[in-house]
Amino acid sequence: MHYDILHSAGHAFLIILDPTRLGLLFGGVCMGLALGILPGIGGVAGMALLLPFTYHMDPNAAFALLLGLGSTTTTADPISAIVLGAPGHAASAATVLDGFPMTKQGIGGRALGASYMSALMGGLFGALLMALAIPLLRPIILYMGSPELLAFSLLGMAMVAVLSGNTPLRGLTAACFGVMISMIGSDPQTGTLRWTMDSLYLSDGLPLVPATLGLYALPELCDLAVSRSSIAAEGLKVDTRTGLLQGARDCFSNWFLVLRCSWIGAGLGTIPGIGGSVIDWVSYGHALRTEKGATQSFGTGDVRGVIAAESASNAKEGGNLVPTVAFGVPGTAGMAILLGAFLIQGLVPGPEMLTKNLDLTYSMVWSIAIANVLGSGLCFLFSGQFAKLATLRYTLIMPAVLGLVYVGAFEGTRQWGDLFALLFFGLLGWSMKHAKWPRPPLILGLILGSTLERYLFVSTERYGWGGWVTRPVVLIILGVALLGLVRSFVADIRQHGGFKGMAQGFAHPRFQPGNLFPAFLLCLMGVMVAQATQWNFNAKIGPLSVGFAGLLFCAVSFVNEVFRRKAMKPATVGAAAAPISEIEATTGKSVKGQEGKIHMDIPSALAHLPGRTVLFRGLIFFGWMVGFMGSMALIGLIPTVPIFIIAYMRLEGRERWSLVLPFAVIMAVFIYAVFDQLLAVPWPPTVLGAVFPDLRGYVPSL
Amino acid sequence: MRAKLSNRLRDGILGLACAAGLILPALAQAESAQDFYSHTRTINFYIALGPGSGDDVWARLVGKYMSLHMPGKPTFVVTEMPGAGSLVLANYIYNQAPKDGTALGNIAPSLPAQVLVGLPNARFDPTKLSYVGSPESSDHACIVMSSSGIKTIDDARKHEVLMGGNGPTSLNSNMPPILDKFLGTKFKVIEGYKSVPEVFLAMERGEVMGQCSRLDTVLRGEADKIKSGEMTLLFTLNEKRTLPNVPSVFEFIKDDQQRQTMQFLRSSTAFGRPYVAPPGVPADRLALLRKAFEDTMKDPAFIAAAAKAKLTVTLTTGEALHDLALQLYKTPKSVTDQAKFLLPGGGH
Repeated sequence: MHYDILHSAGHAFLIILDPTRLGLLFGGVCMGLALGILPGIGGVAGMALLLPFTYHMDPNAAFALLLGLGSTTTTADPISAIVLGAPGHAASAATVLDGFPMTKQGIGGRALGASYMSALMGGLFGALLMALAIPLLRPIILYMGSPELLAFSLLGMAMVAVLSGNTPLRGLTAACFGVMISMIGSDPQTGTLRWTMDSLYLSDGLPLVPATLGLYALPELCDLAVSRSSIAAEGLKVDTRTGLLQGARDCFSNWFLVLRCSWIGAGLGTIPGIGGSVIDWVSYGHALRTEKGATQSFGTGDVRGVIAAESASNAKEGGNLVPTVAFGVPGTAGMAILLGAFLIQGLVPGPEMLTKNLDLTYSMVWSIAIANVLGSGLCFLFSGQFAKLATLRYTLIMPAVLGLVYVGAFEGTRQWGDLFALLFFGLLGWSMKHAKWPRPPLILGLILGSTLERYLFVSTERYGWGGWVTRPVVLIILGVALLGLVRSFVADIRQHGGFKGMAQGFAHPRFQPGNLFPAFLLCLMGVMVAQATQWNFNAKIGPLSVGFAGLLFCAVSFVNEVFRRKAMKPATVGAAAAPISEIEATTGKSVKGQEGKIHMDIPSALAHLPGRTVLFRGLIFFGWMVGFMGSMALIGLIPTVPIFIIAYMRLEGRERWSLVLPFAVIMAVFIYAVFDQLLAVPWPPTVLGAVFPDLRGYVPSL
Repeated sequence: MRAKLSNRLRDGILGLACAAGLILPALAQAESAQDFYSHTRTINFYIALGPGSGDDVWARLVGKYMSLHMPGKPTFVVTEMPGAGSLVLANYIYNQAPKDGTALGNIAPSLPAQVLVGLPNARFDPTKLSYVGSPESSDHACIVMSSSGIKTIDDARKHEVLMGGNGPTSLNSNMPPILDKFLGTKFKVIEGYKSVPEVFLAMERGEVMGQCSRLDTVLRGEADKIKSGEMTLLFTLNEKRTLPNVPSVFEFIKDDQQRQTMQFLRSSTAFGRPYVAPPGVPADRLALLRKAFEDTMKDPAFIAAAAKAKLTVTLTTGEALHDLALQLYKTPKSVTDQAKFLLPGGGH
C-alpha cells in the first residue's frame, strides 16, 4: 500500500516534470497572477477562459494548466486587498483587515512579503497534507454528514464573538443582518421568493462579489477621495525590498501559526459543502483567539493577521481537491470548473481517482505545490513595486481602480443588479465604517447564512433535533464553538464591571449623528421582518428567528447609545481610536489601557476633517458613482471608462492633458481587450444602443 | 466658436448614425442567408450555467463543430448569462438579443411548461421562439442505494424511502410526491441539497436512500455502482422503456387523468436541451441554422468528440421542438392546474 502511494507520487512527479506540462503550468501561473491582481476578477474567470483550450490536452497537462492558474490567483489576490483595500473576493476581505492598515503605515511591502511567503508555505503544507492523507480521506469524508456541516457552519458563526471586537451588540446585529441578506432569493425548502422585490436578479440570492467589493473597496476609495491624498500618509518612505524580506522573515518566526492555519485551511477545504470563503475567516478568527495580544493588535496592521488569512487561503486549494476528485462535489467555483475538465476528459470523479487513476490525482497535488512555489517566487521578484501604488495621488488611483471595481462587480452575475448591489453595499459599508460598526460579522453572516439554514433543515428533517445534536463529531465541534463564545462573553462582562456595572449609567436621551445608522437598520430590518411574516412556515421560520434577534440586538444597542452617559474622553487603544465605542458607552468610563479589545475594523483616517466636509465629499464620491452608472446605461460601459477617467482627473485633480489622455486610452483599451474580447462579457443593453441598434457593431458594449 | 464647432460635430455624428441606421437594415434584408453567414464573424451562444456545467461542455462542442457546417465558418462565442435557472437568458433571447440570426441560447427544458403554468417574471411566449434543435434526449430515472433494501416499486410502496431534493423547481424534489400520489409509493423528500452530485454523496453516506435525476447524468457518474449492484434503477420516466431491464413509470399508471398529468410533466423535460434563437429570425436563416445543426448531429467527428466526454448524441430537430411547444399549449386547463408544483413555491 505504502509502496503504491510512494510509487504513484513519484511517477506523478515525473509526469509533471515533462517540459510541455511544466510550460503549461508556468503559463497558468502567470495568468493566474495577472488575473488575481484585478479586484473581483479572480481565478474563476481565468479558468473558464482556459477550459476550452484543454480539449485536446492529455489530462495531466490540462490539470496542470488549470491548477496552475487556480492556485496562484489566491497568491496575487491579496495585492489589491493590501495595497488598495479592495478585496478580490469574500475570502480576502480578512486580509484587508490587517494588510491595508499596514499599507497606510508605509509598511505595505512587509505585508505583501508576509502574504507571499505564507501563501507559499500554506500552499505547500496543504499539498503535503493532501498527499499524505488522500488514501485515508474517503471514509472520513463519508462520515461527515449534513449535521457535521451544520456544526462547522455554527463554529464559523461563533467567530462573530471575536470578530465584533469591542462592540459585541453591533457585531451581533451586523451578523444577523448579514444572515438575513444571505436568505434573499428563492428558499431551498418551499421556493418562496424571499425579499426579492419582484426582481429576477435577486431570485438566485445576492452574489458575494459585488457585496464584498461594495463593503470594503468602495468605502476605502471613498475615503481616499474625501481625504484627497495618497493611501499611505504623505512623506512616508516606502522601502519595498527590505519590507518584502521582513515580511518573509515574519512567516518563519510565526511558523507555528502558519502551520496551524494551513491545516485549518486544508482540513476544512476537504469537507464538501463548506464554501471556500469562510475558511479564511475561521483561520483569522482562530489566530485572533489564540495569538498573544491579538485582540488588541489585530485589525490595526498586525502582520500575523495577514499570515493567518493568507496561509489558510492557499492551503485550502489542496484540500478542495479532495471532495472534487473523490466525490464530484466541488467546494469552490474554481473547482467546479476543474470538474468541467473532468467531463471533457471523460473522467469520472469517484473512488477510481484514488485507485486506478491515483497517478493523475497525485499529479494534481504536484501541480498545486509547484504552482505555489512558482507563483510566490514571481510575486517576490516582480510585485514588490505594487506597494508603491500607495504613494500615488488619489486622482491617479481612483478612476482606474473604480473602473475595475465596476467591471469586477459586473462579473458577479453580469446583470445591472450587480451594480445596484455594489452601490447599496458601498453606502452601507461607508456608513458602517464611519459609524464604527464592525463589517467582518456582516460578511460572515452573508457567507454562512444560507448554508446554515439549508443544513439545519436537512439535519432536523432527516435526524430530528435529538438525532443530529448528539452525533459525536457534532458534539465536539459545538463544544469548541460554545467554549469560544462563553470565554468571550465572560471577558466582556468582566470588562464592563460585571452585570452591576452594565446596569448603571442611564441618563436622559442624547442623539448623535452616529445614531442614525442603527435607526436606519432598525427600520430596514423591521420592514423585512414584516414582509417575512406573510410567507409559509418553512420559508419564514429562519428569517423570522434571525430577524427578531437582529431587531433585539439593534434595539438594545440603540437604546444603549442614546440613553447612556458618554465617556469624558475617547479611549485610544493601539493605533485605532474608537471615540464612541460601545464599551465606553456601557461602562461610562474609558477603557483601561491595553486590557480592552479594539474596534474590529479598519479605522477611519479622516479624524482631522470636520464631519460636514467628510459627508459633503462623500456625497460627491457617490455622485460620481451614480454618474458612472448613468453613463453606462446611456452609452455602455467601455465608452464610459475613458469619459469617466477624463472627467474625474480634470475636474477633481486638474491633471495635465498629456497625462489624462494616454491614461484614459490605455484603460479603455485594456478593459476592452480583457473583458470584451477575452472574457466575452455580455454587456447590458443601453439607451443609445436601443435608439441606434446599428451602432452596436462599431462601439463595444453599446 | 467652440460651442458651434461641437454642435456641428454632434450634428454630423447624429446624421451619420441616422444614415447608418437606415441603410444597414436595408442592406441586411437584401442578402441571402448564405451571404449573410459568409461574412458573419461571430455567433453568440448564451448558456445559463457556467464553465464546467453540462450546458457549457455541450455548447462548446456543438459550437465548434456546427461552425464547420455553416458558410463562412463563424466562431461560436459561448457566453454565460446566469440567473433564475435560465429565465434571465430566455427573457434576454426573446426581447433583447439581435433577431438577425447571430444569437443562440440554451434554455432549460422545463421552461415552456413552467411558463404555461404561470411562471412569474417570464416575458416570452415559448411557442414563438425560433427552435434550432436539441443535441440530447432527456429521459429521467429514479435510483436508490441497494443497501436501503428497496429493489422494486413494490418495495417503495411498503417502506418509507428517503429521497434527496434540490428544491421545489427541481425534478428530484417534484417527482417523488407525484409518484406517491399516483403509485402509492412512500417516497419522502429531504429538501435542501445544493446539487445532484451532493445528493449522490448523501446517498453514499447513508443520509438519504435515492433520488430522481437525468438518466444520462446517472449513467455517466454511477455506471460502476449500477453494474456492481450497489445502486438500483427503479424506473425511468419516458413513456416507453429506454433501458430494456428498467420499467417505465407509465407501466404502473392506470388512471387516464393521471396519465395525462404524467405526460404533461414528462413533456416539461421532453425538450431535451433546447437551443433557441429569438422570435422573428428571417426564415431562410433559421432554416440554415437548423440544417447546420442537424448536419452537426450526424457528423461522425462530432459524435466521437461527444463520446470522448461520455455524452450521447440524440437529435431532436428544431421543427420537432416547435411542434412540441405548440402541442404543450393545447393541454387542457384541468391538467395544467394540477401542475402548479412546477413553479417556485410550488404555487403555494
